[in-house]
Amino acid sequence: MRRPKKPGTRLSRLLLLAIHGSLFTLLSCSFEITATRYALVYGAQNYDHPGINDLTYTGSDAVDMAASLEITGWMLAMQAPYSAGTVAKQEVFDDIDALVDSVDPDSSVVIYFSGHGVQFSDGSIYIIPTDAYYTSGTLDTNSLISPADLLQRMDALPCRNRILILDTCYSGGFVTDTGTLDTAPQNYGVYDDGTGGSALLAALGSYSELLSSAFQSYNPRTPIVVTAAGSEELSYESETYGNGVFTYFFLEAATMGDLDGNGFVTIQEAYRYARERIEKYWNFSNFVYYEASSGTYADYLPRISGNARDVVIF
Amino acid sequence: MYRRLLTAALLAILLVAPPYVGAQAGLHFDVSAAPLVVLSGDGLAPVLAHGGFSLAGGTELRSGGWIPARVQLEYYHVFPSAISPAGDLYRSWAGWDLALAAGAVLLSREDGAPFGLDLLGGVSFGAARYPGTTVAFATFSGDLSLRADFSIPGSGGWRAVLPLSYILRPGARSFSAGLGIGWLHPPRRGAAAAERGGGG
Repeated sequence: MRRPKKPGTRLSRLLLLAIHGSLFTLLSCSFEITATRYALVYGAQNYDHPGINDLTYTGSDAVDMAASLEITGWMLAMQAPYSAGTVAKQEVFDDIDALVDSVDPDSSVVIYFSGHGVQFSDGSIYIIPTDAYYTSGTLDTNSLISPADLLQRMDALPCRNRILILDTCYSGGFVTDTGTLDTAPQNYGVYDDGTGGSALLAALGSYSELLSSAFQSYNPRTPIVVTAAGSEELSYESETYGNGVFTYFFLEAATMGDLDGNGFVTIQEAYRYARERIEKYWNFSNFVYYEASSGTYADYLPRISGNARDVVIF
Repeated sequence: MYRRLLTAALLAILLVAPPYVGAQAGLHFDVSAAPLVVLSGDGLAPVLAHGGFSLAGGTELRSGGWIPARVQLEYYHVFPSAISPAGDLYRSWAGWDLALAAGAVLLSREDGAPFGLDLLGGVSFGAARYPGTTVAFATFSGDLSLRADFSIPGSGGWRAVLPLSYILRPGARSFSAGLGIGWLHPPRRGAAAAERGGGG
């Protein structure tokens, strides 16, 4: 059975927004974003190796994401054309390295990747660039991009806001540790019937560990990571939307996701908008479909890391 | 470091504030609501202000001029902060706090003061999450609160509350100040009421 909606949710949210709207007006006078913001946008669609199936809409994902970011003041910093549907591993790394000398401490850098992701039997997770290759019949991990590869590269960027957005299968494996707990299971589809329980109750189960995290100091430059799916879930693209499902709704948030009405859409707002739309429009129709090949249900839940800070994205 | 500061603050309260012996003894119950102003910082981005609110219910033991124990359960919601010129901000968070406190009665209406005045210090253990996500975390805070009590002795009534908290949470530190209103339930009269008057 699907979990029923709580009737008071909408009213309480409106009340919270009204209170917040007034407080926000009091606390923040007019302002504009003056820092330079760079975007690296990739859509891996046409894979070189015949063992990896091509995707249909990841090229559109990149084009649409780049357009939305550019129109809201982000500077596209890829050195190769992003509409070609090909993304080489070294190309991604070279683009990040090239930004090291360009960014200043107040800058923001967002990296977006749409394409395939893979989870190996040992649980390790990678995103797959289009030049990935096989060795001895299996995907060679040297040709893939691991969370450590990408996050360490981003760590070299001397700016305080680094954002990673992934629309790939298993992308939840890239979510960074920030001393918080994702209380939704990584194979959300199994629990989508409402048996998952409350987030706060789940947190209480690991309370002593979480409490010690509250006392620790974390690198405030730790990237904010938003992913389409959990580390044990698939992510989907759809002919209906002409994009990856997550990317479609994340981009829709640029015009409809300003939850507090302040004229800016933050990563948290876009995530929240996309997550709620996926629940409402995709998962509602697909939660009963079990994919025997992957051992998962065809519904999934976008994830976000637990950084204390947020960044305006649109 | 934080624990030492907290202990010093509590000792200072108890030493600087001579308690009035006339306050009524027994268990008291109260509820309160307060709008909050919260300042957050992470040592890298600028310190930015949030708005928020809290709703709390508590019970405390009063003995003479002391409040030796108070337990409070509080729900709070902190909205996203203002946005910095670099385009970053601190996220909204909301959750529950269990607060343990102790303090002293500085002024008491039972002794002819125009209003009662209590000062309490303590700590809170919280479980919170970022609204709209499944991301949860724990918080710890050192609390100080000043209360002006306008209740009629023995029959409950209104009080003003000024709660201050220094909050430890993953990735950031926050300072919260509120100015709220509370309702004190009429206290149950106990045997300890005989302590009043002192030798008259």
